[in-house]
Amino acid sequence: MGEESKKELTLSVSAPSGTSKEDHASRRTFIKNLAIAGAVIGTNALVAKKVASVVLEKDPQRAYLEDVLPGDRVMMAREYVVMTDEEKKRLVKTLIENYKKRLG
Amino acid sequence: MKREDKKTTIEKNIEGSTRRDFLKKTGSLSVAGLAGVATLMTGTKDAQARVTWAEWFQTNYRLMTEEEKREAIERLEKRYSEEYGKKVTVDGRPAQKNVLFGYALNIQKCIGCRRCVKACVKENNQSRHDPEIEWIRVIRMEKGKFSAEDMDKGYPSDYGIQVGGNAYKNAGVVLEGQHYYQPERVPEKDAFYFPIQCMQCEKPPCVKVCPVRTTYREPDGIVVIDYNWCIGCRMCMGACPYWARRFNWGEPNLPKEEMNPDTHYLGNRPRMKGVVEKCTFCLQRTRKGRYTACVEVCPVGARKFGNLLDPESEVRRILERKRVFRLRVDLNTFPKFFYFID
Repeated sequence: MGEESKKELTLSVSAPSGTSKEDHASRRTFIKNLAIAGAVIGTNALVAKKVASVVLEKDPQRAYLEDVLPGDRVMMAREYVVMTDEEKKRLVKTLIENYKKRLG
Repeated sequence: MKREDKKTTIEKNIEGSTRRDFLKKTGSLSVAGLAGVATLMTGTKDAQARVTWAEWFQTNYRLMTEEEKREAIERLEKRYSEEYGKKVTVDGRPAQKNVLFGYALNIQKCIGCRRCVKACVKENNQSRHDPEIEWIRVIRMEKGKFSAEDMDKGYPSDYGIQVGGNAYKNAGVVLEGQHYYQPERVPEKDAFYFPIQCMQCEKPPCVKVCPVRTTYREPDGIVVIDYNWCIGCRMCMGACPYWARRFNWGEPNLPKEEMNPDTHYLGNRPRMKGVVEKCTFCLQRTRKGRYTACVEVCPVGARKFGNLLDPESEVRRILERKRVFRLRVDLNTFPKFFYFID
């Protein structure tokens, strides 16, 4: 009985240090998990970037032509109207006024 | 009791060392990570490696002080000279006072030889292959025709609108796949040629949409791009109604021996993958009082260039005396590139 009460005493004394240990352990686990998650996400992002750059890489010449050629049709499917003398004069006047306004 | 105490002490030690280890590891990882990033950012070539960091952190060219501009230019000159094995100059010359550039093209004279395209590629250090980038497009179009035989064909509708046959066949039909036409001789019968390039709009839509303000209009009217500040979002390409902008889908291929060493920061200096580029009216030339490469090379004198503020300039004379039209006037972009007819 005397031995048992000693054990109980020991347990009750060591209880606060046990709680603190658990606290530390859970913080450590959290930081560890966070680091692992970070590393995993980082690695996945790098792999995904590499795969995407290989798989989705466009042929530069083809991509360039896809940019340029549709414009030809759109540009030409228009009516072009010759400017009247009045329009031309007004345009020159506007351009000069704009220039003066911008640069004082 | 003794055992418990001992355990606690050991655990305390382990705990302490773990935290220390963790911090140590985190520190090492951070350093390694930064070193990795540095390795990725810097190039393998000596010159590139030396300037990439500085270039990476430089600000928008417009916001730089004169001193910063000079430093940026010096860095580039050094890198390009080492990369291309020749003395490369990068000009930072600003716009001249009382100059507003304008361009006029005689659509009747153009013979579609595409010499202007080639001269532009050569002058402006454009990628030669994969992709072959060209700032000027010359489109071959069908000529309009007047046929007296067709005069009686067709009939007017109730509203007086001609239905069916007509004496006049409209011009302006784009012939199939004619962007890279390869005839034996030019000009071809029944075709005329329509060169298109950046119109250097007075109110440029591309400038309005740029989220980082890397593209802007200079006082002399030229719309420029700070290639170092461009994020390659392609917003400007979508906004340009003239399809005048080009995107570097791949690393540009510019052979050392073909590189034009006379460059401008906002003009023809070598570009990198992922940035947009376009015609700048050869500002590396025009700001020194020279003509653009396309004007100089045109064998029939179809291209004219000058100062819109000067009443005696060729462009102003054309505006006064010739029949002039512009592209997409409906958008109110006020293009300063005019097409004219004698």
